[in-house]
Amino acid sequence: MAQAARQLDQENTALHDKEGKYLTFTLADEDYGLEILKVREIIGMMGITAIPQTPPYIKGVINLRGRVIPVIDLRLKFGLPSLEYGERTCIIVVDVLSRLGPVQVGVVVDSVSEVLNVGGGDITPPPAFGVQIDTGYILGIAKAKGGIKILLDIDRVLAAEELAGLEKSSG
Amino acid sequence: MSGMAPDPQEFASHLERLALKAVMLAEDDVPALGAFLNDLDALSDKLASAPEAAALVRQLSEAGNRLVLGEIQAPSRAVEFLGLGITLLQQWIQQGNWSQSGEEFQNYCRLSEELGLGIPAAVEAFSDPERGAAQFLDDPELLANFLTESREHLEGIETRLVYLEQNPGELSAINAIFRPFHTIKGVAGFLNLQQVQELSHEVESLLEEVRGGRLEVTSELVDAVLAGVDLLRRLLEEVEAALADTRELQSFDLAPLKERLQALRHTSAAPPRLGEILVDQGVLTPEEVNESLKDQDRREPHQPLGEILVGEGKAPAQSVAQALVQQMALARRGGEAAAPATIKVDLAKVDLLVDLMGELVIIQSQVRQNPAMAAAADQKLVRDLGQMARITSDLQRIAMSLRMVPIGATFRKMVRLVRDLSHKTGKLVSLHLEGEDTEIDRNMVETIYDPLVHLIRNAVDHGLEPPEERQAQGKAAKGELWLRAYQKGGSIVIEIEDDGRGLNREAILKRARERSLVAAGESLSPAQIDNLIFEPGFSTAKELTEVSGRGVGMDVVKQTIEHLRGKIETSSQPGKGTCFTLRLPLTLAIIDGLVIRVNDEHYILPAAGVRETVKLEARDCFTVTGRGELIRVRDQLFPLVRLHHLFGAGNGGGSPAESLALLVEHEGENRALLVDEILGKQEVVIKSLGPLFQSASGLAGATILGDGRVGLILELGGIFHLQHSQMLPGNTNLQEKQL
Repeated sequence: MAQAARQLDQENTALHDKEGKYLTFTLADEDYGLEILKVREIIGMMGITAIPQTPPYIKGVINLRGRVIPVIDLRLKFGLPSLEYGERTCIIVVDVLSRLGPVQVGVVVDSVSEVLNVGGGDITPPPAFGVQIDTGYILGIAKAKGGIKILLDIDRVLAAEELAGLEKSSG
Repeated sequence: MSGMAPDPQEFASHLERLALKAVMLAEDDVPALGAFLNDLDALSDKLASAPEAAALVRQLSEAGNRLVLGEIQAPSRAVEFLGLGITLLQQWIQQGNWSQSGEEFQNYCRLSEELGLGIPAAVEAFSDPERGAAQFLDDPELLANFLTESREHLEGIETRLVYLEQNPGELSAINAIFRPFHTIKGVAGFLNLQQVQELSHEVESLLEEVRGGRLEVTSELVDAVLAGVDLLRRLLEEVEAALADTRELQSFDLAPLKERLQALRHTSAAPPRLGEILVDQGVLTPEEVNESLKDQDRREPHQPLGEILVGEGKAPAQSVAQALVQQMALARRGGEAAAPATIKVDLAKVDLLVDLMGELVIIQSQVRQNPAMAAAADQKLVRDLGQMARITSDLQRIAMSLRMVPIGATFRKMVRLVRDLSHKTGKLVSLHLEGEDTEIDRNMVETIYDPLVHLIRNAVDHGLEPPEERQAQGKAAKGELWLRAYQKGGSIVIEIEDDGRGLNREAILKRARERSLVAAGESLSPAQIDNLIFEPGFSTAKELTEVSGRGVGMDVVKQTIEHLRGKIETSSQPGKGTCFTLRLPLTLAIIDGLVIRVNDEHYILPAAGVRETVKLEARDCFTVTGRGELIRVRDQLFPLVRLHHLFGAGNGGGSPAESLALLVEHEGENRALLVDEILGKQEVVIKSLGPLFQSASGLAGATILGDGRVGLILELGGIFHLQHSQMLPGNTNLQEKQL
């Protein structure tokens, strides 16, 4: 009993650590959040050069002021139906820590909503089911005005992707 | 600071006169120095009640004396030192004190160390004993600079030492070794790196003897100094490690080496040249000099000849001083190599500059291609734009050249290697360096180091014969080894040539057959046989020696060079020698590329691999079961590669007939690439695709195209490999991916 309580406590502390500002965006009618500290910039859709021999969710690379950075389509990554890019489609450039050091990666989302302040008390652990994506990618679920936001662990999302990318290309 | 001079007023005016003299002092103006010293002596008589000032004056007068006697290597520093000393004394008389933390005092202490005068006890007592120790970790930047500089110095020292060994008489070479040791010692003292200072001091003292002509340059001496260099390197490594972990410095056992150095120092005493100068000047006769020299040998402790001569009244002090100054001037001349002024810049900044320059060029071409710009009728605007384009392209060229460094530094590291190898193997080698000024991409320099080391080891170990064997064949006992670099067309060529026994083709062929690298009945041309040595796991050395490796060499060398988009070739004549030729691109940053279109995608194909463009006709295209498509060009068949398929860029590309094919070559393999269109040829800046796509096969990187989009740079080796794996039955790698 006490042990269970302690465990719950620990979980709560862990969730408390996740409080802070999140950039929210939509993807297939669901709201997601990205830690604002990870976000480098938000850019509109631009010409993406496809890289052959890579999985479909790797859209390719873009020229970000002279630097070549990869772009991932989050819809495809999460196995959601693809959507034609439109006016509101954005690329969020995030800093992620990969196994090979820090890299910048662009993620394509349907649209960017707002920057939200999420309190530790509003975050609950990811449910075992009921969401469209792999729970391993989720930091937690935040209750906020107008519904819930899925807080993404972007390092995880892109780390898994990195492995996939490497395996594919070395074949 | 207690104790005042008896009459401050008088003392101050005395100092005033001294200060004036100090300002006017010239390092080789002995009479003026003499007058200055006299005044100093008069001053010290009045300072009995002020020990700290007296100590300072004593030190100044010591410096002055040594300056007159020509015992100071950096006379201009000594003059500066004297000036600083007087300034401190003036502070003292005005304020009854001098500022311990003031710039003058700091400089004074530093110079004092540098000149080997030490800090006088009285002065030292005032300086905070904690300060020195704390300084070590307090100023990591200073320390890091010291480490970098010292390493450069040590590298230079090594090369010059080997040169000195071959040209023992050259004074300038000794000076060029002496000076950097001196600098290391000075700065190490300043940074409170005691062991570094101690060791460099020991080496310096030994070299001082050589410099003074009292000790001859022997192989033994060079060995000892080289050992000193090695130990200093280890000390520096320790400092670096300690700095990184912010821990205490570990101390090393310097005693054995110190003993070795000291033992050498006491071995011999060749006649100093001072006497010769005085004889030349007609001040003394040779007999007089010899007499004094004998006298000098008898005296204990050792006294400089100049002092003896003056002491015995054989020569006037002024003549001796002048002769000493002349001696120093002679020593200094020639030692100075004309080096262009340089600054050190963080490499990341240079890379960023190159990146941004590339951006500037792109945005400029976008501006120029803007329809609004084309419609503009203003002549001046058009002219100005043209001018801007020229400036930008100049800027870009300069930015690129910032990454280039002369190959000389890498070459000079080989000098030490060859020396050590020749000692170890007992072979006599003379190494000739040519084209040390040839510039090479900085990123490439580090990568080619290992291959060069390997090739040189092989040349000395396998290529060159032992002296007896050479003489038996009518060759000079000493083997020749050339290391050349030059620029040819768009490449840097590096050659390693020896005049040894040449490659043993029979042994190579035999080994290749043993390892099934060559089929039993197959006959190969001599050049083909020579190139077998680049096959993996190949080594012809009868026994493994300590010097060359375990047969994991040449294939790795080849891979490394190819990784740099270079080539390695060998040519050999039995009994006459072997030459390895490395061809490297000028820079890793730019390649000459063909922009091609495959469906909607644009790719860049390195122009170096493209041999020709052919327009295909239906009768030249074949499909062979199990071998894919082939095309025929002038009765030669080439396997056809469809980039459309390989890269999944849309569909098929249709029948090869009526379309364009590029004949490409990579590592002797020829293929034809089917493309839709060739859009042009341009120089492109290579950018990495980043860690995510590090091992993407078929791609060498990316570049920013004229329209601001990213274009992918193709890599032929990878494309061939992809094509190959796709053709193998059962390997449906690609199809799986496309599912």
